[in-house]
Amino acid sequence: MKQRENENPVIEYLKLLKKHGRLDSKAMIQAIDVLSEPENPELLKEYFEEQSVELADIALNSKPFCVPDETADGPIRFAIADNKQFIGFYPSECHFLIAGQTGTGKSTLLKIIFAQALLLNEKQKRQDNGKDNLLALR
Amino acid sequence: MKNRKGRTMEKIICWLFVKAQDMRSLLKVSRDILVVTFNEIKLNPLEPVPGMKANEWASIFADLWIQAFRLYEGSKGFLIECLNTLYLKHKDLGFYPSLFDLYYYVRALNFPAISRNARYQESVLNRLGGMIYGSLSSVIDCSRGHINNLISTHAVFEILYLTSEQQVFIVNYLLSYLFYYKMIHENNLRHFIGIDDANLIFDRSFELRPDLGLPIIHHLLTTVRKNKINIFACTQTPHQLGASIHSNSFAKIMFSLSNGKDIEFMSQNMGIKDEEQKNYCYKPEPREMTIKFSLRFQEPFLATVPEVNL
Repeated sequence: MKQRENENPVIEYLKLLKKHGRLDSKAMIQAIDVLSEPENPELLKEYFEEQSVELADIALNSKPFCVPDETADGPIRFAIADNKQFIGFYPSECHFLIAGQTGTGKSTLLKIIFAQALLLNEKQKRQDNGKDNLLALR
Repeated sequence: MKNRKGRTMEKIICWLFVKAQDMRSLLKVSRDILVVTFNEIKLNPLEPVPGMKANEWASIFADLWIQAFRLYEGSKGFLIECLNTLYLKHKDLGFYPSLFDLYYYVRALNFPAISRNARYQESVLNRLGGMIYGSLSSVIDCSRGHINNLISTHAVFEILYLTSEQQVFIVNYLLSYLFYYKMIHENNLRHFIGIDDANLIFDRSFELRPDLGLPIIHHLLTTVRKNKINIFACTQTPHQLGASIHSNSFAKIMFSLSNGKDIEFMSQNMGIKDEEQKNYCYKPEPREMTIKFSLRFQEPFLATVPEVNL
């Protein structure tokens, strides 16, 4: 998509932080301070001088993909993102297409998914047994 | 099993179709897994799904057969005719015919040497002969197989010693049976089906030949909400897979690929348009994968397969 010409650089910066999983309340408060005075170029300059280390770090060390948040997780976990976020899915979410050359981890991934599914069955079974025991106590 | 809201919880049944023996390590997680090596199991592909009429199953079987063995429409009609006659003959006997019965029935038919029927007969016999005298002969020599028990059993099907046609046929037969069984009989099972090297089953050439009928896998992928079957298809050459898997996957995962065509194909498929991201797909780190979910967190992202002792 072609970037809009009049996009506010502060908003752009916030989007960048969000993409790389670095958007926190401190960054939001700082951005709001600058955005509340749109006619003050000095404030904008000062703001970006302060953020230059963060920007350089993103440019040098970050991979060009989004960092997933907790919405990418599910009960059947199969991977871990760079930000230590677990990646998983729900049993009702259907069909996986897994592409990769030999030796890259396709079979390991299949094993993990199926092992997790088997463990999920066991977990549900244990929970049910626990509930049954509670009902019996009543 | 019921969840907190009182709804019945689904039990997940795992089926894996693999061309190696390494999936046996799942036995470390659960001992309730059957490893099917196609030596001791019995299957009769002519045994209809319970609740289905024999002539309905005959059409399904004929589709499976001609897709697996690359026959033509004419042979399909011929096969359906033979099957229906055979089912009628066996109706009074109280058991279903086997592939052996079908072979001997077709072989006994007499047609003028220069006729279409003789050609169909030869094509069908040729494939049936390979099947009943090949490595599956001890599997299919029965009238009632173990398939109904398999439906509620975790199983690893090791198809490595079967010919490619037999692999296609067996996988499609098992999946078709499961699909129609679940259509007819409501149960509380969700099936996870893992297919290693899925090119054989999802081959896009099937989609380019509509005269063969749509492969069962297409139905499985498009009517998932009804039948609760999840497919996990692994491939080394994603561009050779049929469109149904590409357009119906919740998750697309790309590990390192060596063929630029495949990388471009997957990048496009996953909606990766950013040049930097595209370039990164050519040099991921070991065990690193690009993931794209379709219903939540829809941006492509990177993750790593953890090292596990399995």
